[in-house]
Amino acid sequence: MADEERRRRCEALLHEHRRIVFKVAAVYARHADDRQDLAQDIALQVWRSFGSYDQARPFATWMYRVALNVGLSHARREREKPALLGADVLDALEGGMPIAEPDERLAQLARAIEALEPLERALALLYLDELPYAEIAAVLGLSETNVGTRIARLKQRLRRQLASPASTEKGVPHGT
Amino acid sequence: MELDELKAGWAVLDRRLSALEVSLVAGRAVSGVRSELRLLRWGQATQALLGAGLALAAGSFWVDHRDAAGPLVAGLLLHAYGIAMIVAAARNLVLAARATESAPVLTLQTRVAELRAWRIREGFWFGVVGCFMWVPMLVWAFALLGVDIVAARPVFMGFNVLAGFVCLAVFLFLSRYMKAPEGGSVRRASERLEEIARFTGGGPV
Repeated sequence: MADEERRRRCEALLHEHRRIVFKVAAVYARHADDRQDLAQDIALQVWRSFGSYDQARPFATWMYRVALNVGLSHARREREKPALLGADVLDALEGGMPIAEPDERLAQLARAIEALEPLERALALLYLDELPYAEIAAVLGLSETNVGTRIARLKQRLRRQLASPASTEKGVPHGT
Repeated sequence: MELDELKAGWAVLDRRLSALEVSLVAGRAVSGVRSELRLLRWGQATQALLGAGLALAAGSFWVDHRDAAGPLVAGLLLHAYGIAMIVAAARNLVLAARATESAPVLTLQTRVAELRAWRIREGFWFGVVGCFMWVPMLVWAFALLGVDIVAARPVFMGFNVLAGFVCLAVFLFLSRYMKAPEGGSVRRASERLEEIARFTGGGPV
């Protein structure tokens, strides 16, 4: 009975924070099948680790940690350079809504993040999700000052990348 | 394109992802750090048991052969090797037990990368020592038959030690020049540690 209650609570929290699962899957898996598998891996790891979750702390912070660790583990196994979600992903993921037309902003986002190293992608994801520095620090295990420095460096790098002609010529490997 | 536009793209993504549902598929194997380390845990537990067996057997062997130099040294070497196997396995098991997915990202990634780098270095040194370990094992085997092979056939044992050096040369050659999988692992483990150091700016995590 307690297990059932725990499962219900976990599923409710997973549902509430499901976008974290899909965003991490989008950032660290290359193909649609991989993304689906990775999303499932993250969800299951959240369930398996749920016992270690301290309910006095924010669930999202804990879930970002689990999801990013599973994502980085996936990227390590794949050994290929993972790419960000392309606009095609919603067609491929179960429950996805059909897309009438591709969004160029998503394609540009994909190109920008694809060029980052796996750990930088984690930071970019947290930055783009507009998490406060204190929460980013708690997820990554850095000091707040260090987070500020890393984000400033990340912004510079993204700006340089966005300004370079190569960033607009490079194709997105998802058919976007 | 400016950073604000990147954020706008991210917001589009966010809206689209809100339409998706996530569900727990029962019976599915999880592939995370812990599952990656599961094989390592079994391997290390087996190594610790083998090491304990070797340390116990070699310990009682050299205690019984304190009067003969050859078997005594062989027994001591095997005893030390058994203890090294236990210590190395215990260290790895402790490191693996600390690797949990709910740890802060850099903490876990650093632990995993260090564990891998250490395992590879440790494997190299066990390989180096292993090139010679069969020599004391030979001494032990003959002693169990009642023969002190070092005293009875010193030249034969000399050739065996020499063969150990040949084995070592082949091992070093393969490790260095043949791009053995071990070499690739060393490079990958180093690259991961370098990546973490680059990300943290070389400072403490």
